[in-house]
Amino acid sequence: MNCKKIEEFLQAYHDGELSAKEREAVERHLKKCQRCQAKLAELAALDELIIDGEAEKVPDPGKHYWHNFSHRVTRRLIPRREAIIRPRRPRPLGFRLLPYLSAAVAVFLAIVISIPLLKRAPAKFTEEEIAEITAPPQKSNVSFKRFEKEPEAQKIELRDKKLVSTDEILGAEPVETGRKSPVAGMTAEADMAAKGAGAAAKEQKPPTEPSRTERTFLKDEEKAKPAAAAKTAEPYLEEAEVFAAQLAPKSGTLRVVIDSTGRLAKVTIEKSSGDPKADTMAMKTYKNQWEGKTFRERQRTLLVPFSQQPAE
Amino acid sequence: MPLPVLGDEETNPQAKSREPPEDEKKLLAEAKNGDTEAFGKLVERYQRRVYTVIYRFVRNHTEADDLAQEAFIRAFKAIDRFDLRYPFSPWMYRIAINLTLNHLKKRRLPMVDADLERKPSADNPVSVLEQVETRRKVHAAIARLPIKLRQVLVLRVYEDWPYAQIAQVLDIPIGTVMSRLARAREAVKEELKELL
Repeated sequence: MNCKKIEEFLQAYHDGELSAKEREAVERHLKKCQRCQAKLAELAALDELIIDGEAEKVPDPGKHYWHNFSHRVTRRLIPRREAIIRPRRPRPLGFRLLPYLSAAVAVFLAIVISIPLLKRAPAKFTEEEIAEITAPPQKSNVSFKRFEKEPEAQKIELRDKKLVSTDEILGAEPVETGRKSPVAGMTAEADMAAKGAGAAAKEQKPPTEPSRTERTFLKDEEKAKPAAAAKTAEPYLEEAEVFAAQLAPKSGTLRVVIDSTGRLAKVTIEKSSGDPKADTMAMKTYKNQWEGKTFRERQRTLLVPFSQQPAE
Repeated sequence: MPLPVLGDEETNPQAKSREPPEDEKKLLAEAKNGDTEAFGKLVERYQRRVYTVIYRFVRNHTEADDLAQEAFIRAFKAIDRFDLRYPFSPWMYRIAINLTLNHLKKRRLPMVDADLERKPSADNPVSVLEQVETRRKVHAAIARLPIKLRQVLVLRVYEDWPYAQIAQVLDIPIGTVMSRLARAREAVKEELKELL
C-alpha cells in the first residue's frame, strides 16, 4: 500500500474500525513511513485536544435525579384526562341547603327584631283630649289648621272664606266656617281686642279649656289667665289675620315661611290672585309689615289670603 | 471540588450488548401495548446514556434534562412503529439526537459551556487561564461546525461510538460517517492548529 491508500484507512485505523487484515497492512506501512506516522500522531493529538478541551466528562446530576427521572417521564405519559377527571363527589347536605338556611335565618332575625317595635304601646289620650278630638267642629270666621310634624316645618294654614274687607271683619259678626282651633280662637280675640272689636269677638267665642295643643303652646304662659294668654299669643298669627282681614276674599294666598330663628324667611305666592301686580304688592306689603319682627314659634309656614285690590 | 461524572459503562453503548436482551424485548412489547410501567423500566435503562448524548450537544443540564424527557415521551408515542426485531438503543438515540439537533437549530445561539469556567484541573492560576482559553477555543471550533459534521464528531470522539452505530442512529451509510468525520476533524484541526 502506498501513502495515499493508507491515508484513507488511517482515520479508521485510529478509530479502531479496521478488520484485522486491514489493520496489519496499515501497521506494516507505518513502520517504514514517518510521514504517515506523523499524520496518525496528529490525529491522536487532535482527538486528545478535543476531548480535553471539551471537558469530556458529563457532570452527574446525582442519584436523586436519576431515581426520579423515569417517574417524571412516565407521569407525563399518563393521559391528562385520566389524571385529572375524577368522579365528582356530591357536596355535603349542609352545603346544598346553605342558601335556604341563610334565607330562613334572615327571615327569623327580621321577625325577632320587629316584635319589640310592633309591641310599642299606642299613644294614650286623656278623656278631655278624646272629647276634644271627637267633638263636632265649631264654626269660626277665621281658622288655623295645624299640621303636626311636617317634614320641613310645622304649618299653620290661615283660612278665611268669608273675610272680604276690613270693615266687614271689624264690624260684622264672624262667620264660623271651619274647625275651631284654640290657638286661632285666642288669636282672633286678641286681634279683635286690639282693633276695638273685642266685644264682638268675646261674644262669639267664650273662653274654653285649652286643648292639648294649646297647652303645649302655652307651656310657659299663665294657663289660668286666658286674657293674658291672648295678649301674649303669637304676633304673626294676629298680624296674619289682620292682613287677611284687610284684603278682598278669595283672591289669592301667600305662603309665608318662618325660619328656625323665628324670622320671616320667605314670602311666595301660594295661589295667585290672577293679577301679578296684586301678587307682588301683597308680598311686599306683607314683608314690610313683618320687617324686624321675630316670632316665638319657628320653622312654620303660613298661608295668608290676599285680594287683588288691597283695601285703602 | 470536581463534580462526579458518569462512568463509561453507563454511557457507552459499546459496553452493552448490541442485541436486545429478552427481558428488554418483553418490556418493549408491553410498552407497545401502552404499559407505562414497562416503558418506565426502559427509561431507567437508557436515561443516563440518552442524557449524556444530549448533554454533549447542549452543554447545559436544564436543557439536557428537558430534551431527555421529551425524547423518551416521543419514543413512547411512536413505539407502535418500532420493530421488535431490532435493538432499541439506536432507535432511541436517533430520536434523542434528532430532537436535540432540531432544538439547537431553533436556539440559534452559540453553545455555552458552563464547564469552561468551573472545571480547571490545574492549581497554577496561569495554567488555569490557559486551560480555560484552550477549552474556549476548542469549544468554539466545534460549535462552528455544521450540525451534520458536529454530530458525527461528537458521537465518535466523545461517546466513542463505532461507525456502524453512528450510521444506524443517524440513518446514513458508514461511508458517509467516515467522510463526515474526516471533514470535521480537518476543520477543527484548521481552527486549532496553533494549539497542536
